[in-house]
Amino acid sequence: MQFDWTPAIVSLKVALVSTTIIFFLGLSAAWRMANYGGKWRVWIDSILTLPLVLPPTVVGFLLLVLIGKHGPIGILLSAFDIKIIFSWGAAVVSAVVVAFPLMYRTTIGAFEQIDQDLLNAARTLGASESKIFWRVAIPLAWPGIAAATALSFARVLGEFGATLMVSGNIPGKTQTIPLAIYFAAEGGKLDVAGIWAIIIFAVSMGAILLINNGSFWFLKPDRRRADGH
Amino acid sequence: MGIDIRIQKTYKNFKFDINMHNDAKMLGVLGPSGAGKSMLLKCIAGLVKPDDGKVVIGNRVLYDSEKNIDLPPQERRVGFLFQNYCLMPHLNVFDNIAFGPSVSGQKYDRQRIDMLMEKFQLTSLAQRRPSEISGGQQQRVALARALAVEPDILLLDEPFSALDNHLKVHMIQQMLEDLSNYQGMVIMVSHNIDEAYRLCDTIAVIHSGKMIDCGEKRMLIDHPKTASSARITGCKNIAPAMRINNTQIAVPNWGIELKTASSFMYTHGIAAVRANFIRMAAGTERENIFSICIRRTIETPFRVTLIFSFSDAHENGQNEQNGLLHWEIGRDLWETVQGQASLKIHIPPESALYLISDED
Repeated sequence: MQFDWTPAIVSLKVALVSTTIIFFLGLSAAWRMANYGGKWRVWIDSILTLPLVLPPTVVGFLLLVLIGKHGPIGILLSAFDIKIIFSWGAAVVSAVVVAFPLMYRTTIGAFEQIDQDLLNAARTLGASESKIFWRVAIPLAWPGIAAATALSFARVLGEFGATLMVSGNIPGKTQTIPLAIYFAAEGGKLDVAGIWAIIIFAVSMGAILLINNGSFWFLKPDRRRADGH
Repeated sequence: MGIDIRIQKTYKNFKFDINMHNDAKMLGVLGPSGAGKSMLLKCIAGLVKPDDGKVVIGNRVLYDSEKNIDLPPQERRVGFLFQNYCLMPHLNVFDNIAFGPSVSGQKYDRQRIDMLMEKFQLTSLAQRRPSEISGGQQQRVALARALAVEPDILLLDEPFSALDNHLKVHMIQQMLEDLSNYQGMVIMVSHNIDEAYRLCDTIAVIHSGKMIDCGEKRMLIDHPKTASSARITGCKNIAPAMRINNTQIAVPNWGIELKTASSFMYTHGIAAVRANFIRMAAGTERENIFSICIRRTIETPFRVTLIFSFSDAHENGQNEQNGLLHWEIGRDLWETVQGQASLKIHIPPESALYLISDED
């Protein structure tokens, strides 16, 4: 039997791209919200967290309405001759939306753990807000940020519902491992479904072990020196 | 160099209204916890924005609500020593001290940091992390870090409260030495009159968000302006009093009448007598001599506090708690006083204060 590895390649590609996007989006959203004390805080925070608890099919449906052929974003993109729906890009979009709250919530928790006076001390020493972000906040919150990234990666890898709705199941193009499992099992190819299940199981377990172990260098607080000397 | 501060702020039902003009080299700000001392420092440093007012250091305007000036903390050139020092836990001692110069954008002079480390005797700790050094060492790192950016003014927020008692006196001496070359002004906030007195020449007293007293430290001890000021500067014996004549007051709680040195016009006020200013009667005094009855004693290694009441106090209105006073004496006097059946004390008229009542 010729085993088709393309779902792994699609999955990996989607997972890497979407985790990268989630990393930067989540980090900047979390830092902004950690420093924002305005009256809309509760609302913005709720909206950013919502995809975590919504059924993926609801997220998928909303995305379908937005980026579909007749959706506002879909129409806008078609003006530039870009069609995102049922493409590899749509899988990335759905993965980002679904897994973003994990990154955001975990990171904001890590930022809020930082003693405000530590940031104030940096301010009185002349550090600009962006220097404070890079030299103080990120290093101190690093264990939380690393854990958030690993969690998001695992979540993205397992994304099924929303992805199916917006990017479909096109083998070799948009079929990710979870989709491959579903359609293999449905078609009676239990051996194929089993192999993919074991792979997902192993990778996800690895990610969680990594977080829990915490002894890896990239999970430790930043030990770099304040400058390059 | 001097400061000119007028700050108004309402925060969670707490009204904060401070007026302060001073050009002392080292100014102590004394007040109980919750009086607004940290708030004052944070307003000066730009970490908290006042509702209204003005902050001028020397001739630099840092904040002026009327002229819409509000410099960010990064541009204020105000050094801040936080209560728990707030060293960067992820950086070693050297990097903590170099933090200010290295983030300020200019090329920084490594030699200058090394010299500062040497002066603060921290060279051997350069590679250690804050968690790996003692509290006293942490304080010195924090002080060196604040001075590394050469601030115009240095704010010390309860600098000794996180230290063990036996270290305190030593660290106060050390700080006086460390700051001896510093050209700028220093403001230290504390709730402890001992610390403020040891370190500063001028002391301002803050109570419930207002400055109630300010002056040369000896003046403050001998002549506090109000009852709260007396209490905050450590006066133990405070009770309501009434004016009898120009130099005579009655203190019902204590059941005595006291002769005072100066005259006052207000009919109701507060009597205050510092526990250390009470004397043993020598027999030559003409007034303010009282027989006392010792109720309890509190002993410390070198001093003894006698808790007493006046034995021939008029019974009216005197209750157990209010009628008790503190008298603090040295061990040597305690040896002779101990066991004596009746004791006579003398309260010098200049130590019998009749103050404005400003307490609730």
